[in-house]
Amino acid sequence: MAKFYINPDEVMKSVATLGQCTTDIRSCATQISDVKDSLDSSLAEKVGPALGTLTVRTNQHATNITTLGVTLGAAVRYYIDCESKITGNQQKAGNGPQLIPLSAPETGGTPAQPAAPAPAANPKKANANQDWETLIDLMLLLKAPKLSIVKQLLEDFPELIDLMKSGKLDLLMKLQGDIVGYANIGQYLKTSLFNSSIESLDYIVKNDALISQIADANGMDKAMIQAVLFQEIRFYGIDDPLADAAVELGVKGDSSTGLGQIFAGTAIEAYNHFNPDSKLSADNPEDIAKMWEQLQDPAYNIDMVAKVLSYKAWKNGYSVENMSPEEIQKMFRSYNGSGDLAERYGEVVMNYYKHFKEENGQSL
Amino acid sequence: MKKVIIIITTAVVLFALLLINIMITPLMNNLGAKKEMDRIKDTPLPDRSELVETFYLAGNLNGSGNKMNFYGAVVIRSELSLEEIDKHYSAYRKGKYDMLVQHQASQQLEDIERNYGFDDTVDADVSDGKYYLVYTWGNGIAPYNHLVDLRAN
Repeated sequence: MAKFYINPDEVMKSVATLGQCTTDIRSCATQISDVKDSLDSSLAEKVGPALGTLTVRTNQHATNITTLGVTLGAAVRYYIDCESKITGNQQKAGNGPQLIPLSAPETGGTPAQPAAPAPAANPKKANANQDWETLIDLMLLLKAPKLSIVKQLLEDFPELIDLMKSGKLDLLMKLQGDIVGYANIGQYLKTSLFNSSIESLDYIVKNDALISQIADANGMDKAMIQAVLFQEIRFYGIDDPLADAAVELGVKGDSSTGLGQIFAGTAIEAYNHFNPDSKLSADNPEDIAKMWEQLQDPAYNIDMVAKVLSYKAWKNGYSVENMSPEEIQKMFRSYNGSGDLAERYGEVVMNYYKHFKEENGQSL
Repeated sequence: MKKVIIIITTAVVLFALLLINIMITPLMNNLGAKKEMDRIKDTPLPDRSELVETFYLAGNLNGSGNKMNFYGAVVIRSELSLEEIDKHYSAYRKGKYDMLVQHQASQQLEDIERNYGFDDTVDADVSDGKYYLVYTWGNGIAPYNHLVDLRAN
């Protein structure tokens, strides 16, 4: 993607020049109009209409140039305004609100990519200019919406800054494209109070080290875990905390819970498959309760996502280490279960998987 | 003061709607599963076959993540082979997950991991090897199949 370098001082100089041009052009239009008025009647009949049109067009040019000047001026004012905001966001990024805080030091996520040096002497200004570049990148990516929309996005989703800096915007747009084709109005309503695609991807990016470690430990492609996690975090809805609360209150025995939205009973089956000596039973309410509690730990839950996927692959007669694309999609579908809804789940998660795999520098 | 009253009224109405949703949706979803069962039950039986038991279950019946399943099934006893029975039902099949046929060799319904209090045990003695399960994973009744039913989670 093309990069731009904008020096606000230069832009303000251009705005001033444009203002002078506008004044000159309007003066020119006035002079043309005066000439027209001073013509004798015979000459006025011949060239008067042409001079009148020229006056109108000259004034239109002056108006257009004024509009351009106002737009540029507004852009620079916005730039100056967001410069401090972005710098503030960068400072708080390390302590900013996270989806679910992970306690282990190695699970703190990867740091944001350091900014490349900008062609300016003042370091503070250099960073600000680069942030301005990323803003323009974002505008281009979003088909150049109004600056106010970008500003609102950044205010609502400070995670977007981190995703921009780590070069994940293209991935975000691809994932969002899949969601648009998958989600229905009911899902949008149920999930609207919770995690956006931006927040969901940000969580996965920030926990890349942990996910990689779990994928390696389970001998599987980390894009498989990333794809399932993205789906489950993104589509966490109003009924999920209600179901979890019902379990805590003893009204319900089990629920799909945690980052990977795994039922304790399913987790026990997967756990037992990998631990033949295990005494846990999916039919024992006490074991279900114990496993359900463990699934509240994000790191444990992500590990269980890997184990459930492996277990489902095995049940389908495959090995998670060597599967065709069709088999992988079937594994994703099995993760969700049976029926048409699970089929659609398998399709959309397969699409996420391809995007994550590409992002991880691998091909199918 | 007027604003406060409007906000409180809206909150109460929304809460009431949520409660109604939570109470009615499961019933409608049960009905959605029962309709699947009824449709299989109303389908003509293959030759030399008899209907033994019927089942319907609604909830997140297997797998992880969130979704509602609407499962309807019948157990039949037949002198025909699995292939012959499958061929019979394939004429009525409307989708990939409709009127599937499998051998019923145990007392449990295969693929059902959670029963939410529904009956999922075959009472008949299936040891003679002549029992078959005909089942459908349906889509329920809209819009209830997309509303809040805590069994989906």
